[in-house]
Amino acid sequence: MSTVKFTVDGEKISAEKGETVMSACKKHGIDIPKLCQHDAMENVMACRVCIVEVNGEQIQPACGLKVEEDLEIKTETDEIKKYRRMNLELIYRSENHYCMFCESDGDCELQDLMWENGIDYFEHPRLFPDRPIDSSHEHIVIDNNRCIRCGRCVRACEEVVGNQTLAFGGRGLENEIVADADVPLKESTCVSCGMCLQVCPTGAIFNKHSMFKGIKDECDLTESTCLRCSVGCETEIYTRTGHLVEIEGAESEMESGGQLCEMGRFEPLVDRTEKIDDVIYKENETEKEMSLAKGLEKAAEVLDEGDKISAMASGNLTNEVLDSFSEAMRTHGALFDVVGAKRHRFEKEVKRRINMIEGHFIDDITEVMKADHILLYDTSVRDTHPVLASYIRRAAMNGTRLITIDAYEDRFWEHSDISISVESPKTQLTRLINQVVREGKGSIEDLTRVSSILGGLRVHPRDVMQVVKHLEESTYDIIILGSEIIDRWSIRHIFELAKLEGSYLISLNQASNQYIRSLETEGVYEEPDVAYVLAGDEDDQEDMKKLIENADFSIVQASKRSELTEKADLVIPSLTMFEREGTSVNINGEEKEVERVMEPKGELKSEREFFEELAEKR
Amino acid sequence: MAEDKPTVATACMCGCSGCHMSFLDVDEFVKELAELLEFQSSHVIMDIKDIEEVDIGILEGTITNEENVEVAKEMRDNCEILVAWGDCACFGGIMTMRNFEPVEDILEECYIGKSDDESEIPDPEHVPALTEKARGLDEVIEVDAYIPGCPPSADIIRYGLEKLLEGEIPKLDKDKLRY
Amino acid sequence: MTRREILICSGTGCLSAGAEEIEDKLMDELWKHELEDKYPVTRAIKRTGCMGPCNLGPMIIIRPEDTFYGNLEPSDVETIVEEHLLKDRVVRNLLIEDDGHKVEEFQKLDFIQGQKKIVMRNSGDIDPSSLEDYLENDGYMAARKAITDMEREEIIEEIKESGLRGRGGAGFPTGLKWEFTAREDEDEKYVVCNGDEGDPGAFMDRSVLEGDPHSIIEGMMIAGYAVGANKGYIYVRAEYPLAIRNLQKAIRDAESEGYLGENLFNTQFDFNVELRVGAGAFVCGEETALLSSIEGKQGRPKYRPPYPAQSGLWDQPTVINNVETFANIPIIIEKGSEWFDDIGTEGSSGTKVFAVAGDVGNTGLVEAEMGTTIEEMIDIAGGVAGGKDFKAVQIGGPAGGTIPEEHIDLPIDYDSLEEAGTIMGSGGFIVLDEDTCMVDVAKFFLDFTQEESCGKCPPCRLGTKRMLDILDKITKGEGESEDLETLEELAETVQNTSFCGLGQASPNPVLSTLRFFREEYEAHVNEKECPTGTCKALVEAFYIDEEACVTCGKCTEVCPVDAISSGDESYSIDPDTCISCGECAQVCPVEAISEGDNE
Repeated sequence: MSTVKFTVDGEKISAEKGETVMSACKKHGIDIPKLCQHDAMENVMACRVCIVEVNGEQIQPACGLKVEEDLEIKTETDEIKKYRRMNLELIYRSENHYCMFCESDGDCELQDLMWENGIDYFEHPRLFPDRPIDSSHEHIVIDNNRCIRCGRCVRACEEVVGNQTLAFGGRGLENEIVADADVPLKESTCVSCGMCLQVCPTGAIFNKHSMFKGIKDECDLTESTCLRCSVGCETEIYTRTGHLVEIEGAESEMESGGQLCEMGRFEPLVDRTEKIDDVIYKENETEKEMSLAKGLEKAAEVLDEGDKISAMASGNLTNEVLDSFSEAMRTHGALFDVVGAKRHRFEKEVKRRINMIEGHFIDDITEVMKADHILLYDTSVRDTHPVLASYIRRAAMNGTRLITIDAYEDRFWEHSDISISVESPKTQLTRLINQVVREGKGSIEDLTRVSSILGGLRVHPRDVMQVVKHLEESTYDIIILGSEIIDRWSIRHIFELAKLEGSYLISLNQASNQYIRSLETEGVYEEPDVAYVLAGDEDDQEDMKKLIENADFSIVQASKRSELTEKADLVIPSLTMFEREGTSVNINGEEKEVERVMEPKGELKSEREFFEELAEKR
Repeated sequence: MAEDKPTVATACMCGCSGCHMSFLDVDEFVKELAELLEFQSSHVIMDIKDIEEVDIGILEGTITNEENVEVAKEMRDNCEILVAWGDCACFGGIMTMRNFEPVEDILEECYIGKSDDESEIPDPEHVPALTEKARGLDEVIEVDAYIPGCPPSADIIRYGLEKLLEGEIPKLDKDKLRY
Repeated sequence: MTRREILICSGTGCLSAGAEEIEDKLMDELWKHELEDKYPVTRAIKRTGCMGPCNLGPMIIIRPEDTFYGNLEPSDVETIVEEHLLKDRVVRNLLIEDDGHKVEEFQKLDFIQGQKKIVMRNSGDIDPSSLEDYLENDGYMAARKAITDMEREEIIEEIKESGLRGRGGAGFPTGLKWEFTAREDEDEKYVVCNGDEGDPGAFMDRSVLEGDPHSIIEGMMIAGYAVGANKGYIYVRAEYPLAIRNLQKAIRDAESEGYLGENLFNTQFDFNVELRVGAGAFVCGEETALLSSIEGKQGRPKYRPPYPAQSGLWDQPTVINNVETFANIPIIIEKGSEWFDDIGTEGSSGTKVFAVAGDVGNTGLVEAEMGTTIEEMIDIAGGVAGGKDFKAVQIGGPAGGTIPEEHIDLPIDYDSLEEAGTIMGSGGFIVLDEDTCMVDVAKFFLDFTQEESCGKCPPCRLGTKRMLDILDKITKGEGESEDLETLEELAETVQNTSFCGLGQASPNPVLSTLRFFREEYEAHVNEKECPTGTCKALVEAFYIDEEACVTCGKCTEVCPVDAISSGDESYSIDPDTCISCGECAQVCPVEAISEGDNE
């Protein structure tokens, strides 16, 4: 990369060729005011606020202008300041910018620029537009009256989330943000990731659950890792007087563009389930509250009495909690399992049997955006790992061939080039693909040979042949295996296919903490005397529910009330995900810090200490 | 009355008197001010309602009725420097929200639509009539200095007064300007 | 009896004036007089494209005499058939009058004589739906010559030497543009014809597309060959149904006769053309927005550079030229660059088609040599209508400006116009007489651009709106002393900071009227007066002279606001209701009504 030298306000600056003036200036600490530009997205040069003078004659937007040798840039001439002020005033006065009762008062990029430019009076009257406000969505409000048409939301929706829900409708003064073909956001293709409101520079798009709870400057900020799935997005969590205000994606982490999903951004804000603060012991149909110490004693006593003990932990806990819990359970002679670990054990077994080396597994999921082919087996990833799903959509939009296979609805149907719907059992399909790859390599005979079986599967032989053909053509293909697949044969066939074709693999499971891959787990007794379930914040885990239903006595440790705690004989409080601190391992195998966002409110202060004590009570 | 002290008058148009309250928040600086300035009239600290010739005229609030127009013009005519305090005086503030609807509709909604049977729209003979639009001061009279904020903080109000005492027209820079 | 050909102008103007009715009537008459053998429909009766003098429609030309009949009523057709066709006698009372004498031949019309037809060479002369007709007029000869006999570089050199500049408005040298694209080393290149004509009153591109569609295809084909592109797109707005129909037919015919497709003229060169219909957004005339629209995206302008010549349609090198530019190409190839360069002025070769409108004798399309003065143009168009004085001419559409009387001898070419503060634009030419209010003119054009802004950037979306509001205020008599200055500040911001040409040029009508007619603005603002009496809010109410009134009641019938009430002795006008439209004064038989205060 060659460098060029140019001048900004008299200062010589060197920059990389091809870079924009704005980005070069930013690296040298010169902030050029802007409204529409955003580092994660394409520059559209719409707001005309970043205008600079070029070589003493032209006026150009700094976000569009590419650096050139000897370019002479001035950012603050009287003329530039005059035009910038005029454009800012026109924006401010033409839309409904009443700072005093705007949700974004104090968190607004437009307001900041008004102040920075010393605009303390206005020359132009207000226009008082009256546009509809879309508050149909569960979490997001779009108020077009405050929209400055910077288009960040539209670009974020398309370029970052790969979703193309938001667009501009109408033109001129009627130009506004619409969802799909101008339907209410609630009825649109919106995936509720909230990226639009995170990038909105004004109060035009905002979070229903955070509004009027406090401006960011007055909040405490904790940077942490989201533990809702194994993507492990970096989060910025704002709290005020111990209450959650807003959760945002860390924009410094540019590969995700600061993305989060509905689970990470909104669900914790919406959660109103009753928290568990005390130990509850149920005896003869009555509930008895007791202290934490008493609860610990009771648990130890029950574990001591039990013969067949099953212990199961959620996969969304930290390494430290998982370690101390498994240690405590083992000292009490329990069989130990973690949600999601079963899938991992199957994989390990398959890898051993087909002699597969680790090199097939991708250590950076953003690689999917570089693949030329993606085979997505089980499209539930759209709901279980939404940010990974956005990478898949972005890849497909940029020309990657996407092949999807699912027994249910194809949740990527708009993007997939070949969509194959299979009926259970899925194994037969993978076996077929496998067989064709191994034996036939795309010949017509293979087709006729396999078509009779395919008929029973309701899969068109042409589709199978195409899949094989694509994988053969591909130079960089990635196979993604969704977390709903827990069938050994499917795993075996897909792994075998990857081995044959030299494909890379991303294998997802239900746990967000991939530390489970290094933990010893062995599965549990199906009908134990005692079941000890460490649920954390989880509430609807089928495996956990089944376990306590089949146990004679069940202990559930959880942070909030759920079906699990209703069914348990002994309920012990656990920390919430925001009270817990420690480390967690993401899908890429990286260890991430999980920070304590709020001080534990109940008697329980450290889960690790609790389990260490429980282990000692043997 | 000392001859050399600058004289000040303050008044409130349609507003909440929040700016004046914020002014009182300058605490003991009031004492100092009393030494430096001569308050001719100010509805929060004295009971004089007429405006006489002063050096500095300070107005808070939006112009929303005929009386506001009259008071604003009277203040303008009687002062050397006119200062607008707060978002309402500077830009029209929250009151301009009524400009979305015609004034007749608003009166109708307030006095007839949302009231009992006996209420009626007030007679402009008794209550000053509303102007067609709610406006900031500079849409009616000339303004020399703007101290916006809702309300401007006591520190900012103090800064403005200090500048005036130094003989300068206060202009808030980017560190002080807030609204 | 002579073997004749009857040409019926079927341009959009004439169609709306009733050309089809004339044609039907003609067919009836021919049938009635048993002339169907003598005048076989397919050969002797020809529907042509626009002939030019639109205010004379519906019109026909009878050949070989070249007799021109205009402003026809269906009832006239009978006379023409009986007299002219059967008895070989020209129907004198149906001839058009120029300066008091009847003109027999079309070519002798003042309106036609002053023109030089290059772009419009076939329009009004051939049947646009007939490939055969086009071929008979040397159609596709230039393409054949270029593709079989000429090197690519040779063609580009020829176009460069001809001095042809883009007719879309900015006047960029066409040959240079082609050269940029030709230089790009890419397999996929495109040729795009910008037919998104949108200036109010402009219809030159429409007339060419309707009247001579094959010439555009031929021009594009030559461009494609020269730059190495095999695919062309013609972008036409949906409001031009006849152009779309004729183009569709032309493309289909050219394809089936081997003038489009593979191995053209038995060479290795392939070329195809596809028609794209735009939904009528003005901004799509901006080239980058137009390309987005062809790609199926929203028509919003993009940042240049890169220019389309390097990275255009689907990021491939793309030549994008205006309809009129392409129409010039075949004839330049045919007759050579020298011939073309000799026409016009030094910096501007060739001709330009203008849509002449406003207060002139003959409105319509005028193709004139570059360098023709404003005065000459007005003469061609029959002078200022109604014997009024000339005040100004608005050239270049909403992006252009106004030129006042003192510059009436200004030659019309790219450079002179730019110096005078306007642009060639697409060729709008609106003549304004002494009764025109220049503030009103500025408002009219700004209203258009404001409405057509795409909304992407604040100066264009909001600045033009604010300017329009101020103009509106001024024409209503609510102007304030600082308004003109604010207007200029806004204009400067919009001009200098708007994203694309639409926004940057939108203040031009305001700025040029402010430059030449500032005192008219000042009269509106300071004296609350509209010197021409155009702005109704500034004109005083009318009153009735009681002595003179004969109580006929004609005034009450025409008053649109019912401001006039009857009385025994005299009628009277309520000054508060009166909008000063002046309708009553015009109908009063005794001139008892006049403007102003009664006292």
